[in-house]
Amino acid sequence: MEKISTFKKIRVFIRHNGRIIIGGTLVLLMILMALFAPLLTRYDPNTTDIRSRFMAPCAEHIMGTDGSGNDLWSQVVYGARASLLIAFVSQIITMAVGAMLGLICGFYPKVDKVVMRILEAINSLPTILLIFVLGMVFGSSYFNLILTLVIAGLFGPTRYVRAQVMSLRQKEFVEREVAMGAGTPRIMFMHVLPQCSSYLLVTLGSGLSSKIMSLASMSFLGVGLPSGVPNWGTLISSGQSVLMMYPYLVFYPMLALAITNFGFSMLGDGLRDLLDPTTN
Amino acid sequence: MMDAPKKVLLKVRNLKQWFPVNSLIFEKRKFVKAVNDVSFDLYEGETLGIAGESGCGKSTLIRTCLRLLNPTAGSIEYDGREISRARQGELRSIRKEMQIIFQDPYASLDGRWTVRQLLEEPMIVNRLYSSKSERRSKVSELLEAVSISQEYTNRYPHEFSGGQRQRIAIASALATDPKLVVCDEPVSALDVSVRAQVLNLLKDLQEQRKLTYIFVSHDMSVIEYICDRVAIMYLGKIVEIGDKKAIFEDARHPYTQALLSAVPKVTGDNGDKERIILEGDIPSPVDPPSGCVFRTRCRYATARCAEVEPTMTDLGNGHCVSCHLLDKEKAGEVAK
Repeated sequence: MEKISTFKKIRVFIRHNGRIIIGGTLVLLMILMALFAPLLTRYDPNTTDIRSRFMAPCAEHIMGTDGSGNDLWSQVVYGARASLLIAFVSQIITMAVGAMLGLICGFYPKVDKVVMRILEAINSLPTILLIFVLGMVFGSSYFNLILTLVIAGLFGPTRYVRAQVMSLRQKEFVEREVAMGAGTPRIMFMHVLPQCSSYLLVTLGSGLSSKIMSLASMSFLGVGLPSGVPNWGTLISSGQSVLMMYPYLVFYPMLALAITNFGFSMLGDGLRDLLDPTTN
Repeated sequence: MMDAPKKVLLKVRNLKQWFPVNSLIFEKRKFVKAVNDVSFDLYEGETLGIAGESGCGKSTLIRTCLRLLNPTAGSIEYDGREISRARQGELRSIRKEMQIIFQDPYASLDGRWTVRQLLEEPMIVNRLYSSKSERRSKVSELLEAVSISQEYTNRYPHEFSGGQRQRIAIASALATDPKLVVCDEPVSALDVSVRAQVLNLLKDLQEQRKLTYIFVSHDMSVIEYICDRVAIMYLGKIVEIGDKKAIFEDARHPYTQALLSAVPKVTGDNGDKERIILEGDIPSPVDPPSGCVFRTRCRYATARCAEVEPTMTDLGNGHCVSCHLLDKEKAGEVAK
């Protein structure tokens, strides 16, 4: 009896939290891959070996080699480090800062006028140009790359949270809070921010992959990571030039990116449903 | 009226709430005069009904009285304290004494909070009970008062029916032991079958907890059931105010008469009572009519109504009417 009920419990848990489990596993796998990169491959991602250029996937090089004879698998594995770290940190900071700015703008119209005009000015520039200029100004340390990506991505979450605040402020449950004497910070963080959390969690995955690609554009333009640091974005954009002849050079880094995106999206979706009592 | 002079809990004088309307640069700035020069007294322990059609400024009036909106002009005195210009920080100590119950119980409860959290929230905000166990016992006391089972404390609002939700909203309004509870159409969104239940609950709670109510409704039969005194609003102004008996049996203002004649009666002799059908729409509160605001739809309107704004005339016993026609005869007789 005991055994069956435990088994049943696990099944129910999986049915309710399947997305969290799948998403969490994929994300965890990617993180482990980045951490234990040296154990997973015997090649250095940056050794040029002219004799083995453009090798198709084989037993020796499971994902083949690129134009300089580098093993693609080792590049993908090592590339996870820079890509995941910068993308994840910058995405989290973007969402946190964006949500804070959005809350403040929504509640304080005077701040709103100033902050939104600045963000609109930033957003009116083409993203690629903006990233290029910021990258030039800040330089290419990890910290500065993150700063660049945060500034470039701030407009979206800020505008969303601000719009949410503006509509929620009219709602009666917020009015009720004011009537019972709650201060603005309490209303902001206890009532309005949780309502925005689903949007923020759902955009986690897609935001992450767009950050990885932006990082690639930056590297391509010479303002991103230095050329020695492998990352998925650079792999994809350099593979594009020989896409018709060697499609696997784009396919495998893309696959890594897609799995990461999928993992984070699933995780975000699952967390949203877990946190929102109305969907249970 | 009672023998002993009653204590005034809320004293509102010449209250105005105007909202600016977006206008072109060269145009004169215009305002929606949602509440325009309203004065009334609210006595301790009574229920004051505020009635009028949609858009007449009922909700704006009570929101301004609670200082959810900042008044344009006028004074609001709560228990002897002037609050119309008080800052939000100074209002804090008063806020726990006046609570509000909203029309839509689906919108007024945060769906992410459990019943317990919703009921504890006002206590935490006002730092009323320091220990968790005190708060818990208060929550069970409140739930018992509104007859919601104790088992439901960890449920979320969407798991309840409309009537249950409204009772939870009432319980949460009572959590700070307020003196004044403002009800903004608390039963309009409910099924007719649970209306009476909620209204009776409000009546019982008033008796047990010595509450004072301001009760907003557009439904005259609800007003008649629950109120002691009634104020009739039209286009941002109170046109008639008085005891329930005076309003329902001896309405003097043509608008009140029209409003009352619209209430369906189950007496069988409805043939002898003429129904007054108002023509046209309520005028725009941006450009209210000159003189008496009701004159555009009033069937007794004279030239004088367009020129001179009527003032409140006291007919005795606190029954005040704002109409020119009273000077000569009862408004009802002028028509003949």
